[in-house]
Amino acid sequence: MIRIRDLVFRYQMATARMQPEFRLQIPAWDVPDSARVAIVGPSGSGKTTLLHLLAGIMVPQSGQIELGEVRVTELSDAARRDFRAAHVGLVFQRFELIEYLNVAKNILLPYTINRSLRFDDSVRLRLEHLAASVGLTHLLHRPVQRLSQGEQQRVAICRALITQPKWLLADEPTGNLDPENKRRIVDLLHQQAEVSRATLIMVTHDVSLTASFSHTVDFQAWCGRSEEAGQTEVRQ
Amino acid sequence: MRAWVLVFAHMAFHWRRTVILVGCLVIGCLVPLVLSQVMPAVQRQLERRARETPVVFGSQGGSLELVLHALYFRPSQASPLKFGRWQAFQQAGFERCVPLHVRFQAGDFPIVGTHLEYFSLRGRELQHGEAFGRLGDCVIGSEVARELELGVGDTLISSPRSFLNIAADYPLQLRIVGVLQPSSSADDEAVFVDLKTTWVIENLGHGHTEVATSNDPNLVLERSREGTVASAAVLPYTVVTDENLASFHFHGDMADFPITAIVLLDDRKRTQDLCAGLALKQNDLQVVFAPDAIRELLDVLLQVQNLLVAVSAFVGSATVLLFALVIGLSIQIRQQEMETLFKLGASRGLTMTMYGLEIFSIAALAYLFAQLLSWLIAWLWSAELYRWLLGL
Repeated sequence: MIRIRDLVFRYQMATARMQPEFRLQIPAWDVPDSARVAIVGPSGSGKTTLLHLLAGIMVPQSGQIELGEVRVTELSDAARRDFRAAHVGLVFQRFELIEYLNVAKNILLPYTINRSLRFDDSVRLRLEHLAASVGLTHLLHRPVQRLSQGEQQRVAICRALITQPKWLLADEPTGNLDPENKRRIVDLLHQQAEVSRATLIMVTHDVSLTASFSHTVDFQAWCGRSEEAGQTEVRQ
Repeated sequence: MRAWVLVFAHMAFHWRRTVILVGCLVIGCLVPLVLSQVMPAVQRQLERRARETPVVFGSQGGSLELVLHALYFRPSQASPLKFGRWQAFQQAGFERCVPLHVRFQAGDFPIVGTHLEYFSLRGRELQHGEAFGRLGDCVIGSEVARELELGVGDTLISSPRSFLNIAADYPLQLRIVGVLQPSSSADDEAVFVDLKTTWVIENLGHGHTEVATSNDPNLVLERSREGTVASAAVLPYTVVTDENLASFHFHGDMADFPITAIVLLDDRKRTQDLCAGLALKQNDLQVVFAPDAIRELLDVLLQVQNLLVAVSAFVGSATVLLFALVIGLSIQIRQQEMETLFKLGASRGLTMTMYGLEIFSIAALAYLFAQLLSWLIAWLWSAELYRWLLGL
């Protein structure tokens, strides 16, 4: 279960020359376990910000975010990082793979960079299983630069799933892909979320992809625009 | 450990950049490292040679030039001494004084005319063969043997100093009868002959066909009661053999024959002072205590070293600035990567550690390679560096 209460977030770096200060306000939002949520909406409306808040990458000025039993907003920086590494899988629009690591090392990256995760034989088996399930077994030792875009995104999904996260957050993971690959990636996300019984929240601009999701949140319609320009308020 | 994995993977992936950065730093610190390897050895060798040859006598002139000439057989522009000077030392009981005649070369190696006592007083042993016992024989240093690939039974030819004055000296074929054991000294790079052999090369003595009994009209210009006048067709022998050895003879008084230096191979201070006192009575003789002159030389070398280190520091600071620029640009380029690592659960400290470790690794690799390279250079070319420093 994801629970958001009285969340207010604004970027601190607004200057007089910039657009009016961005502000995201969510009074309440609950997402049940194992839900499949698609978030659609225009650029700049705060979709990515919401994912970052859920993952603990950013911290709101006020309000509470709970992922399961853990109140993310009350964790220390280090605890938020460890929680994110262990329980939240992130998939990015531009894949954000590490160019100097091969496929296997990219997938295992969370175990390389976070001390709270332990690498053992079960992780190695999971790597093999994940790679096999998305057709990457024969590419495990290949440099990621020599992969197609579809293959790279599959690597990114495997990296998000290697820790068996309870929450899978995907930020426009199909943004750079052709229609066929888009469908395959979304299917893959659903399939892997199903296998690991993870909650999937995916941000997308492509409304056609939302049909397969149990919940769809249209940020533009769903979020009320407050009187001040640039402020987004989510109502449920 | 986690950071090392990423750092090494990054350095290996961008190996060209890594090699260039390491190379730049190696170049920057190579000269000081080579100097730090070579200079102490040079200093030790110079001081040891000076201790072994405490007093040097020669004509008036530069004291350092005389010391380098007598200890390292370097060419000297000073006028020669008369052999009689050495005989005077002998008559006064200074038996550890040895004459030197160093004016000719065989290829790149100096021909040192001296007496057999030179070897015993310096403690030099023969690796092969025996000491020279006949006119035209020579004993070569170990480096000469190695570089020219010569040994006992081979021959060497002295190089005329000038092709324009063929009457002054002419090439004499030298028979190699012995090879010295290596001594890590200038003796390794010298060709030793008897003093008389150098006088033959200098054309003060020669051997030729017996003219007085010859019936060849081409060889004799005139016969009279006073003697026989030989024609220009009588050529001196350019090689000494057992057959023509008896024909070799010298014209003039040997006491007037030239030598270029006298060395006292005696570490007793009292003998040194007495010998120096005797020499100082003769106005045309210069007395130099080699350790003092070598200390002056070492001061000069130290200044040269400091100058080279200062130039290297200047070049090195430019290298460090370029290194910092490359690292700065790399940090900018890798911002997205570091942001990704942070989003996936890395601490900001890890990203800083990665940069730090990469800089440390490149610097450490550069230092390691520079150190290895400096050892290699010192090992391969220490003799050349030694000669170059002495020639400064």
